Amino acid sequence: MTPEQKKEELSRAYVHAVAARCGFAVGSWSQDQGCVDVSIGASSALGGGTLEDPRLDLQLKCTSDGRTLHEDHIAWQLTRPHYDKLRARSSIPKLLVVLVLPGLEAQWLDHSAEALVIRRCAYWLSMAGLPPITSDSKVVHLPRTNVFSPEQLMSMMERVSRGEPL
Amino acid sequence: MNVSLVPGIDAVRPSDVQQYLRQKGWLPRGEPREEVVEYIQAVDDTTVKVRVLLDPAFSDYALRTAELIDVLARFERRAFLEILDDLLIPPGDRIRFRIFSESTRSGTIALDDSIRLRQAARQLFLSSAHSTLKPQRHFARLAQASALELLRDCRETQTERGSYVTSLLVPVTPPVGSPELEEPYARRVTRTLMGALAEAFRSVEVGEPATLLDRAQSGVSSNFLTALADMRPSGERSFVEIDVSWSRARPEPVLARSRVKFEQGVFGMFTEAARALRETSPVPGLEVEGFVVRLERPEKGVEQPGEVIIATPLEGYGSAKIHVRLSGAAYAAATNAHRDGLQVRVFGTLTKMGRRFELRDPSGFELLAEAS
Repeated sequence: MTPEQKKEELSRAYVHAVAARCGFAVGSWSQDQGCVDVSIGASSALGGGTLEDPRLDLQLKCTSDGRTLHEDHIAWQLTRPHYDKLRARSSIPKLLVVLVLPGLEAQWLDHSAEALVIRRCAYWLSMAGLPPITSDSKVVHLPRTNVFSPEQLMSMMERVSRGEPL
Repeated sequence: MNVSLVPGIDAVRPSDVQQYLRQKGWLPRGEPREEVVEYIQAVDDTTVKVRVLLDPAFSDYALRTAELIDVLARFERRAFLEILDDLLIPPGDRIRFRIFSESTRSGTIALDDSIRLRQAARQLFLSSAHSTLKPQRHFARLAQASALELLRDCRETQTERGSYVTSLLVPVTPPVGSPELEEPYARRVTRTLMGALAEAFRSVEVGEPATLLDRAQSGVSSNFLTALADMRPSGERSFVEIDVSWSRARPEPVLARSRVKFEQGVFGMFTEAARALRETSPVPGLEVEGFVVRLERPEKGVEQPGEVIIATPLEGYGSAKIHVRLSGAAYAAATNAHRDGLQVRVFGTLTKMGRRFELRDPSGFELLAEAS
């Protein structure tokens, strides 16, 4: 398995773990389906919402390049087609999720009888409604406050169930 | 599930999906919310739910449609691609013919066999179309205008995976208003065809082919059985399977069978039953057109009747020679036709005694003008 393939698998494992912690199901697509790698779904309405099975579609990315890390955001470059697909109107909210790993592969994952640790953290961005671009690519900023954690995932799903924007 | 490798997903129309769901008993749940409508169906103690996107411009339209089809495939226990095909093709009753044999496992079939199957499917449908108009044990000719017109409107859909499969799409118009008027002719033909297949299957099941000789009212004619016999697959352990998917534009009828299967060994029975029906069935009101090839009048005199033989094409026999006993005047006209090489036309009831064809109660004998 190449390092890139390992990163991809780790990002999926990260999402599965966070979703499982919340009690949400995860569906995977075998290939990149219109910028959707996985779908997260709940089986009931959440947070007082009326939508009984809220869902999120995720496009997963992973990097061990420290240059993407900035003080208040993660910078991620997207080609124009990719950018347009992620900002396009969809029936289910779509997120760009970037897992940031340490530079050294040996530090990506630790295991002991005490704990399984995946370093470091994934961040998310909803690009719905962003303006079109004319250049061939665009660097988007994922706020470092947008942590893909169980708490924030639950909060997002509740908003989806209530029909609120992310 | 790899949506992007499935051609046509994004061509599925929301209206066709909804029509399909309603036909299958799904009920809309509430009002559409932001261009998405839910449909539900109760199964045992649970409720299954699907979502239909009403706007194909959604960037995830193909993905969500694939998810919906996946749910339907599991719910109906049918292949994903089969349901996708049902959603993509225009509304119509779809009759599938599948050939299973060692040689078709690859999804290919010998060219001659393919042509034979298509011809047989055509004749099967055409004979059913005639039986729907007026059931008969045998049709000397399958030439009714409305039946031929319907046949012209039928389409062949693209072949499917699963051994060798060819499908006939019968255009069935949606109902207008309520209560519904009589079913359209096309739907009645499909019913007749499936009903006749069910009779054929039953006769095989009980091992009594003679029952087929008495099922004209159900669409079993010699023409139907001949066409069915022509579908005989080659090779041991081979079989033919025929089923129908009803048009989503109309309520689905309840039939005894919507799918039949015939093993290779039973097709000889259909051939024999077809022959028995053909040879024991007088055909009333038959119009015979052909050339006078022989004249015979035992007693001379212009007033005396005589017998002529007319050569004409005949359904199921190719070219036939038909004996016709004519009055004196008609016989004289036949003599002129024979002399001048003109075709003649006469009406009567066709019977077959052994190898001899005879047209009884002839009327309307006339010479046909030479084509200019």
